Formats: sequence, structure tokens, C-alpha cells
Amino acid sequence: MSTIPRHLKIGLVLIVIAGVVSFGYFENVVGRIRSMVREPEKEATNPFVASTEPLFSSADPPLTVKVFFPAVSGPSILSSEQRTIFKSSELTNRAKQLLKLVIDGPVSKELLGSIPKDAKLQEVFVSKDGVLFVDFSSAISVNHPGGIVNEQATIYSIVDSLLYNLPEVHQVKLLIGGTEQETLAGHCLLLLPLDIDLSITGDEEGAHAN
Amino acid sequence: MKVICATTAWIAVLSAGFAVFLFLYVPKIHGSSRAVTAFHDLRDIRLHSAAKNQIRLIAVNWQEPAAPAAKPATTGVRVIVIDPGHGGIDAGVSTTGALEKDIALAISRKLRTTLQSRLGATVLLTRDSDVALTSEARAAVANNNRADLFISLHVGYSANKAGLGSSVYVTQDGFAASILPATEKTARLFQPWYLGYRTNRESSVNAASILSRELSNSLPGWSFPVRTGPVGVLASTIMPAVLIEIGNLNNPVSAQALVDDTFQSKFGATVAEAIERFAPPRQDSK
Repeated sequence: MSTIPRHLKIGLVLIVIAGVVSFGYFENVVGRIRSMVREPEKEATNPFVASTEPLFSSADPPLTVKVFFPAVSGPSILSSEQRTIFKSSELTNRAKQLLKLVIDGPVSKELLGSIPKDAKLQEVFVSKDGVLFVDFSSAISVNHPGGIVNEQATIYSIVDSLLYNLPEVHQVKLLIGGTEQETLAGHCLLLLPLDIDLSITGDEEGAHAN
Repeated sequence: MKVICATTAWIAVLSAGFAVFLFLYVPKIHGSSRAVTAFHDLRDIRLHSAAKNQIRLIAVNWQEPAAPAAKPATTGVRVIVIDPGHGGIDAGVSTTGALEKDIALAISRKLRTTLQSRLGATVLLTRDSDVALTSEARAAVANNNRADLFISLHVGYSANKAGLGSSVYVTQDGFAASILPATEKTARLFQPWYLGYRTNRESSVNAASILSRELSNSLPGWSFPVRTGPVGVLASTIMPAVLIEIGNLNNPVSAQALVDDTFQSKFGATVAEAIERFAPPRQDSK
């Protein structure tokens, strides 16, 4: 070792230092790539805070509505039951009352609940051309058990309940977690606003009861 | 001078090592990073960034030419595309010990073999492994390969445990019609692609009716009513297209049948018979 010239020793030391620095840098690269790939796994905090404004006032008259739920048996995917909301002047408040009934589930034992566990209504708003936007939390998709009939029942219990009872709107656009999703559970397209479909219910005599 | 030479040599060695590291190690972090060797249109390549360390190629719509059919096509249906539902991170219906994506793939593979041998048709699968695909990518496999028939296979779920829950779906009449431009003046630069189903909806309904009848007759106790809905995977197809949902994984009898080899074979044979009725035998050969 003593025969190695001094300048070569210095060179070797510098190269070892460079190697260590380079190794550390490369390791950081790996870490960064990993963190970039794994980042989506982190659950984003939902900044949405539900409104505490009342959906109707004591002066609002009661209004009988038809709410659609999956049928336990029979050829129809959905059947309806009559329920009551209050006729608030705000369209979105009437929509929210209807959606609360859909989320809470049916009274009749001949019907099933349609909204998956933990799914919450985040917001409802209406466009000038009569499309009602309904935004559910992502649990409506994540917790959905699947199956096309089941998925169609979930979607149209919302769509038909709203469009049957709210003559001011003619289409419903479903959002999930505030954004568009291709489907709810892999079958029914949600990229476009949906029309009422009473062909899957036992109530084909006509829409808009009021 | 010697220092410079030695330093240069070490830098070269380190660079080579880094190159080897990048080549061998980084692809493992990214998951499946396969080279696409055959495609005919850049539009056919889609990348999907999925969760859990995966950046994967989810669709190459054009497929390698299928293995030649054992005999010339005997019906008017020469090319059939079968779409096993779900896949990859999307498991579909999931019950204890059974995933919809696996059952759909197993039945689809069996159906492919049956249709090739009985009808002499060229049969393609939208996926032949456990990968995720968008609805549009699945439809594009059928469109790009000029399929004569598209069958999407799914397994059902019903909260009602007693139901067998099968259906044959076609796209609902008038679906997406509201996005059609009212006049030429309002024609959009990008035309909506969800109206492809309209070109063959009548034939789709016909195919669904035949499949419904044959399956309901052939499988005792099972019923396959024709239903309509805004089915994403069917909306963009430009040939007769149906979605068959088989059984109810929440029903023990149905769940058992779905993984039974005899049931799967009988299902495949019945679909082949239904296709023969849908497209009668032809005199010429391709």
C-alpha cells in the first residue's frame, strides 16, 4: 500500500466519497419513486362539511311522494312506496328530503334498501338546463356489493325518486366524491346525465305525480 | 494525469453500475412495465395508474391474430368477442372464496373453446388475464377487430339470497340520445362515442331474446329475463352486443353452480346453440 503514489491515494479517497454520495442519492431516488407510486394509497381528507340549514320550514305544506326501492321479488327491479316530505320553496331542499328517504331505506318489508352502508349525500345542485347534480361520498361505490341489477337498482332508486317527484328537473347526474366516475360498480355508465326509467319499476303509468 | 485517468475510470464504473441498477431495479418498483411490441394505432394504447405500486398497461385494443379456427365459420357470426367482466383491482362481486372477475374469466375461456369448436368462429377475449380495463377499452376490442357479436359475461349479486338473479342486458332504448347535436349548426368537434350501440340495437335485442329463451330452457330452475340499462360496456359497440349476468353469488346454490365444470360447459353449449339460432348456418365460407 505504501508503494501507491500519494496523488493516487487522494484520487481513490475522492472516488470513494463520490461513490458514497452517489449511492445515497440513488437510494433517495428509489425512495422518491416509491413514495410517488404509493402516494395514492393515502386517504385524502374529505374537506366537505354537511350543511346544517333546515330543509323545510314549519310553514311548508306536506307533500306525498313516491320513493323507489329494490323489490324483494317479482319481475320489476324497483317498486315504490308513498312517503311524505315538505314542499319547501327551494328545489334542492326538496331533492335532499327525497334523497334522505332513499338513504334511510324503505318502510315496507317487501322492499330493500338501495344505498350501500356509510354512503352519505354530500351536495345537491341544479343547472340552468334542468339537470340535477347529486354528489355522494365515495362509500356509495366502494361499499357497493356489485352485480348489474343491484347497481341499476341503486342508481335508479335515486334517479327515479327524484325525477318522478320533481317536475322542474329532467335529468340526474350522479357524482361520486365530488367527481365524475365511469360507473358505480363496473356496469352502468355515469358519465352522462340519466333520464327517468320507469320500465324497471311497477309504475309505468306516467311520471311527475305533482 | 494518473489521477484524472483513475477518476475517469471510477466514474465509468459507477455509471455502469447505475445503469444496471436502473435497468434491473426500477422496473420492479413500477410493477409490470412490459414493452408493447405490436400495435397498429397509438389510440389503442391506454395506461392506467392503479393503486398499490402498479402502473400497468391496461389495454391494447388490437390483438395478435387469434389461433386459426379449427374449421371454417359455420354461421354468419365469424368473429365473436367475449368480455370477461371486471379484472385487476376491480374484483366485481366478492363473496367468501369467490370473486366475480375469476369466475367470469373461467367461464369466458370455456365459452371460447366451445364457440371455436362448434361454430368455427374466431373468438377473442378482451382480457385473458387478471387486468383492469375500462368499458371503452373493452368495446374497442370488439370494434377494432370487426366483431360480429359481443358478449360481456358477468356474475350477479342480490341482497335477496333466494334469487338466482340472472339477466341478459342490452343498452336501453334512447340512451345518451340527449347528447346528440340538435342540428348541424350545433354539431360538436368531438362526437359522443356512447351512441355506437344505436347502429345495431335491434339485432342486440334479437340476440338477447334468443339467448334469454335458450338459457332459460336449457338450465332448469334458472331464468334469464331480457333487461335494459345504461350499460357502459355495450354503449360504444357497433355490432350486436349483450351482457349476460349469470347467477347470484349471494345464493349458495347459484354460487356452487357457477364454479361447477358441468354447469359452465352446459352454459357454453347453450350460448353456442343460441348463436346458431341468431345467425343461421351459411353456405359460403370466409
